[in-house]
Amino acid sequence: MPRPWTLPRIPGLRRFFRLPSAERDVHALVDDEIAFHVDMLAEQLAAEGLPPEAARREALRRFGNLHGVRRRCYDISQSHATDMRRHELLSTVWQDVVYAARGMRRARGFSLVVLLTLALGIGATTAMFSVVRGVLLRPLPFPDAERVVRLWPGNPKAGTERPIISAAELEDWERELRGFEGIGAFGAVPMGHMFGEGDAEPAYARTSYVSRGFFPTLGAPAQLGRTLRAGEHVDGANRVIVVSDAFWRAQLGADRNVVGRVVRLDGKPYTVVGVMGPDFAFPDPGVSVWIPSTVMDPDDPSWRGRGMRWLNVVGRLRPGVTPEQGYAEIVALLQRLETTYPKTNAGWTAVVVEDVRDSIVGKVRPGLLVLLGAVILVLLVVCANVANLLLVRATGRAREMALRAALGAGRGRVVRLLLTESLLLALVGGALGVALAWSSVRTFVALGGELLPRAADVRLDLGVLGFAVGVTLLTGLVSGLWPALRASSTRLASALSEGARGSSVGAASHRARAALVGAEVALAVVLVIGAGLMLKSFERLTSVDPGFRSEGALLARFHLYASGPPPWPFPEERRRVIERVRQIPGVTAAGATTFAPFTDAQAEPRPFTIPGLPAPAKGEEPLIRMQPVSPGYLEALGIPLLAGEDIDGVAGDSTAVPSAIISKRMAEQFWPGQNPIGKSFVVGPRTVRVIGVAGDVRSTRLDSIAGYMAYVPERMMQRVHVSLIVRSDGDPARLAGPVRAAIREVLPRQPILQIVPMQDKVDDAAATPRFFTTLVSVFGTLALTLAAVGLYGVVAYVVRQREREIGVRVALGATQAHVVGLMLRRGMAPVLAGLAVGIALALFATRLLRSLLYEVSASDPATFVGVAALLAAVALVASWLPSRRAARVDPTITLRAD
Amino acid sequence: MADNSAEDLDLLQGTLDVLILKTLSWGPRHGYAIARWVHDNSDDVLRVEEGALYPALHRLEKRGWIEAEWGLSENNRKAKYYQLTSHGRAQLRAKATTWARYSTAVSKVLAIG
Repeated sequence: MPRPWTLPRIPGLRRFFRLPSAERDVHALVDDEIAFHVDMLAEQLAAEGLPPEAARREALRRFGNLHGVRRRCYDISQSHATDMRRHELLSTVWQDVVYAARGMRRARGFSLVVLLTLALGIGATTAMFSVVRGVLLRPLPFPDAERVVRLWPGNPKAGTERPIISAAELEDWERELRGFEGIGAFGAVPMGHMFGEGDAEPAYARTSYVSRGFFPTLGAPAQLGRTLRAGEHVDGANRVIVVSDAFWRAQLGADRNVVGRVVRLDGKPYTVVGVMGPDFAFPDPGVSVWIPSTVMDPDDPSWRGRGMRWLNVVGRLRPGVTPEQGYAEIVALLQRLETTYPKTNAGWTAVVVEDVRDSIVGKVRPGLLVLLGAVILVLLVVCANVANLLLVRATGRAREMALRAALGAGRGRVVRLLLTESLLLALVGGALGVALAWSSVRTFVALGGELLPRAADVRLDLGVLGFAVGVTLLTGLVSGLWPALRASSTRLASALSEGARGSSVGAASHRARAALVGAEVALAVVLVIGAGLMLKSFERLTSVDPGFRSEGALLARFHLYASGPPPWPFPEERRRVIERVRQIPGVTAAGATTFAPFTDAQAEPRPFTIPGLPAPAKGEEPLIRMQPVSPGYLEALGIPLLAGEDIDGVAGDSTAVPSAIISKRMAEQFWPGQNPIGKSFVVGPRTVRVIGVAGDVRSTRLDSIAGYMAYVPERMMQRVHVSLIVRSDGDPARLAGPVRAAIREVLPRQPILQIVPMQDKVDDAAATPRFFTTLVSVFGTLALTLAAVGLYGVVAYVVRQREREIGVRVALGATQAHVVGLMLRRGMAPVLAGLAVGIALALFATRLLRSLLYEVSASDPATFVGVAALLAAVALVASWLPSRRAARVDPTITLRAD
Repeated sequence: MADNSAEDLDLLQGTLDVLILKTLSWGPRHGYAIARWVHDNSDDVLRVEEGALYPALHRLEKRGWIEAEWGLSENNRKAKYYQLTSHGRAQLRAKATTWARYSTAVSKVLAIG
């Protein structure tokens, strides 16, 4: 039998017949097939002599249950069609993948640039997201953390922002507040204890003194043993401690049987009852030991006094109680306390209720969100750049696409092929990006320094990987879809006839690419302006004069412990350490204080009055920080003594009239135009005489001077904390060894916390701004580079496309400068549009930066102009480099090429 | 049907498959032609029942032993042509062997006595 003529083998056509998509089509085909058979049979029967109607009846009869036969054929065909479709899809997807992989290998340079771009974009986004997830999104280690709040009672009129409560007040709170399931308190300033037995170098244990409500309120369980019990907060039973995971590993040898072990803090025995989990870092990650607050020195009852405020409060709201209701209840209580105890509680009627998460991460949240926004902008630039590169490639392949279309590939099919290519690129780039993020996220976090909270919670986990996969797919789609749609809409005839020259296709594609470059430039402008503002702000912040000279100064922090009732012989030992240190060769000055600037705590502000001036209302007095210092401290730290004399060194003489050196700001405020020396002010029961005036010092933040300050003789306050400042004429770091030895000589058994150049402390104060500034700058640079690369590509392409035109122009007498200028104009047109759009966008976007900027306006004109100029310059170079090629066009060669 | 012609034999399921494959080994055919060919080449003994033929064709197509294409018939009508795939050819060889052994065995048993 001869082979029958079949429909031409055009893929689309074949598929149309072979792969009926809808159920309806499948049925129709079965019906057609059976009808054909019936007709043929009827014809044959008629030919054999039956009358036509009878022949037809007979033919149908032979089919028996025609309906049933149809049914069975429908079912089989339907399931066959489904199988085929699935198979077809899989095989074409696989074909596309193989084809795309081959294409990637062939166009190596192109693939490399695209992959690198994608890896940078996806890697940076993933790393940034893992930081945001760890710090902002991951649950806190407290169950139902949304009910846990920090409570900051305050005295708004006196300007105290976030002070503290006394032990007596805590009892009132615990008893009276109904809306809270628990109220816990802890020492506002962690204490230090010496830990160590035998001859081992004593270690420093940063200790938080906690109330009985502390652990129940937070609700976090111990990983080993248990937390403190209510019964362990009474005298006699309170020699128990809970330790941190880090302390357990470093000092207790990660002993699983540590519960019940007796350890010594300051030589006194304590029983370890539990080890907290590694993620428990409350109130801060530096705390190693939690101890019942009732162990505070029993010989000194002052810490139990109503006016002795030293505790921070954390509360757990009852289910259903809103923070607003909790707030109202506390305010009502504070007002009752004010009436009952006017002496200590006048003015202390305000409270701030803060979500515990905000209290931990609130300070870095705006910065992190800005960084996340910045990295998303970078990712958009990456998408635009990849789309741009794909467009170049697609334009080069216009003929291939036209041929595919001519051979019956539908538009959907071509789009799918191109999307497969971009998705494959994105997946490989994404994998590289995840590797990049994995290797760089620690560096990210380290940039944040100690001030980035919850740094330990930052890690690349499944959630982050899922995010990376999502971003990768999205990037592949976003960057690939437009080029794919453009390429697939290529008109067959025009592409086949003009594809080689690409005049009309090329023009449309050029517009698309110019638009992408414009978008890239606009995004880059926003990022670079943001980076510029941050850099300027950072520069201003770090060039601020802190009020002391950190260069040349070494900070040594140690603790003095003693047993027995006060007065303790601390000043004597401290004096001996200072004298010993002064004998070290190269040391020019040495002095001590309790807390040097930028160490973890500062003197608490206390209200004061000035005799002769009208007394402010109770609770509205100005506040002063009294910092005990040794003679020579001001000189050692380089704080200028503007008038008067240095603190005297009469140690232990509490009968002498208290004297103080006040800060310049205080002198100007209270004795303007007068000599303040010899004047006096009153703090609590004491009248303090002014003997000198010193320069203002920034001691907690670089961006502000904290209130009024008075330096008083060390005998006025006896503290265990010692910050020793040693000034030398050389590199202070080189003195660390000798200073340590000198301290050891006088105090062989006291732990030394830290010996670092003072400059490190100042640098640490700028760690958070440095973190944000560095990252925003990196992202800005990345965006700028990508935009430049994109622009270079566009101009290079234009030059190549228009070689013939250039050749004609040159042949007609155009100068090289003219030709290059023409190409530059082509390149710069989208840049200028992008610049304009970018500046407009930046005016909005930089408002988000406002809280991160120091002494720089969010719309700082100099930065805007500077960045615009920088971008224009970069763009000019990026389009000039490929334009030079136009100047080298030899008309005889280009024209002959046709 | 059986009552129509005493000599016609109903075809067992497996037998129909092998006959379809054999028929198609001579070239592409539509369903009607297959039925005719079997009938003609069995000296009018074997008659393919239409009610069984089409489900069998579709089943074989789904299994990938035969494939189909629409074309024009001798009298210029749209018809579905089936042809053997390489997979179907292999099946035919295997089934023909089995069938030959089977029929020899049956004949041998029937020849006894």
